[in-house]
Amino acid sequence: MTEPDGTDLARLAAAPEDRDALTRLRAHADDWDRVQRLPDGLVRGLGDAGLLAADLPARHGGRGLSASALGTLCARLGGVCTALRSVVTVQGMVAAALSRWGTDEQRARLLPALVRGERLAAFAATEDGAGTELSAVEAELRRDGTDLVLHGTKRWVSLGEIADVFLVLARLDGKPATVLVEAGGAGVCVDPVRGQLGLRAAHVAHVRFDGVRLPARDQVAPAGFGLSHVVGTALDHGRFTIAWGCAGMAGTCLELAARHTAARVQGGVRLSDHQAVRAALGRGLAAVAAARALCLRAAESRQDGTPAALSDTVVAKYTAARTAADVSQDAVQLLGAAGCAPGSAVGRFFRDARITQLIEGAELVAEVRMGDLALREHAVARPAAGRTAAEGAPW
Amino acid sequence: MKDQPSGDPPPDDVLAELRAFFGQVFPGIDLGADDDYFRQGNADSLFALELVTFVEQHFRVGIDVEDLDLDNFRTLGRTTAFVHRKRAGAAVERRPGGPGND
Ligand SMILES: Cc1cc2nc3c(=O)[nH]c(=O)nc-3n(C[C@H](O)[C@H](O)[C@H](O)COP(=O)(O)OP(=O)(O)OC[C@H]3O[C@@H](n4cnc5c(N)ncnc54)[C@H](O)[C@@H]3O)c2cc1C
Repeated sequence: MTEPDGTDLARLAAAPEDRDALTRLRAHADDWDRVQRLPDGLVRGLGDAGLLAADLPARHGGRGLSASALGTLCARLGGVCTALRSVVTVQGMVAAALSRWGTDEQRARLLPALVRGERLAAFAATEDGAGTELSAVEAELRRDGTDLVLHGTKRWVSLGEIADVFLVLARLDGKPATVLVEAGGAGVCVDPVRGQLGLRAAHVAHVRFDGVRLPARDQVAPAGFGLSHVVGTALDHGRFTIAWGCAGMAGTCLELAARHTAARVQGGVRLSDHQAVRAALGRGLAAVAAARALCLRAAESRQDGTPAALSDTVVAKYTAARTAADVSQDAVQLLGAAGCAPGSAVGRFFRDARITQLIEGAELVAEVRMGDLALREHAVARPAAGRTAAEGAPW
Repeated sequence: MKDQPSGDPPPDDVLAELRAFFGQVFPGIDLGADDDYFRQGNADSLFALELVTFVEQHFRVGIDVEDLDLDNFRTLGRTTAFVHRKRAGAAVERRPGGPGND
């Protein structure tokens, strides 16, 4: 397991064009994917480099980074390693939800520590019977005196293995409610997942909460608002950073495909001398530019604070994830066996990209949502959704 | 919906502005001031946060965790009253039963 020089992260944060830092970090990332873990101390290193929850306002410990600056950062990280970018995504999701809907006490207790990387957060919503349809979660909070007691099993929690604190979606009095749960406490049982298709270094875990006792102050927002507002805010933020990460991943795949095809010669002909090869690169170029433009549009509406920010982010995430999947697939094709070899970066991106088409809103579900937007835009009534805002899946 | 250029006074006719926003989000559905759009099933999953963002940006009021009570938002009339209360700087009332009751 190779450890990155902490200065490479700082250089990446400061200078997007620092090729040496990028190349070194990418080589580490292939290694992390193989051993299926991130090096110890990396989270702290990300915090030291100012890369965690950097968009939080200064009063919550952040640097007040603009949406487009945060996005650019995530594109750079996404172009190195999806698991690394996931740390920034998940920490950012929980920080955004707390910054938006936490109490002063919750913010003061957690946000500065999340920014510094002293504590790592994970987001635990998915269950066996509730993936796309998060309103079906069965994890339950019961009142016991002034405390709450949590029972339930969450699946597929990114960074769940190494997180210090979980933001958990459950039900309280039958309504969606969110709570903060400390890892390592009595009744918290973490079961690491290994060998999944992608995001292999992301310390994914299934997490069981077996009668975990919490003080009432660890509830985030009133019951009834856990899904529509708290989880909604977290997922919206997650979609935004994933979108940029996917645009970065697609950009790296295009770069690696261009370099490889320009260098490889067979029978006296360079691969890039074939028109069909250049056409594939050209498709990638247009797709990457389009994904970046949509990410930028989402960043602008977020900066303006318009309601369109939410749907612009859905569109950006959908398109960027699809672009990452398409361009990484073409890159694997253009690299041939080299793209399929162990330790191949494009192979890793290909596997990771497929997963980004599922998380934070599966592709088909985003398409249905965008169909609603088309109907809205053209002022056509659509059938009532037949569900309440508090019950609908948040994408 | 045109957003208020910064510097302009916020719109006074809150109900009409809200109705225009709803007209855009739920085209073809004619909402009365007292219709409960959450209960009617018109509101979809992004809507709750779109409404928060619209109210904050358009009327320049902050919505905080203390304001999360469906009774503040479930009808055009209630949302209008909420905006007026916020603007007047008054603490927004919470029912004894706690927020979010349906
Ligand atoms: C590597 C990895 C990391 C993850 N990290 C996290 C995490 O940190 N926290 C967390 O809470 N979860 C996490 N997840 C879970 C992830 O969010 C879910 O897998 C995702 O929400 C989809 O849910 P599901 O797997 O149950 O699929 P399902 O909901 O069963 O959907 C499967 C497919 O059915 C179709 N479909 C489902 N519903 C609809 C619909 N309404 N309309 C049209 N088509 C539909 C779509 O094609 C969809 O792709 C992670 C998953 C993976 C693989």
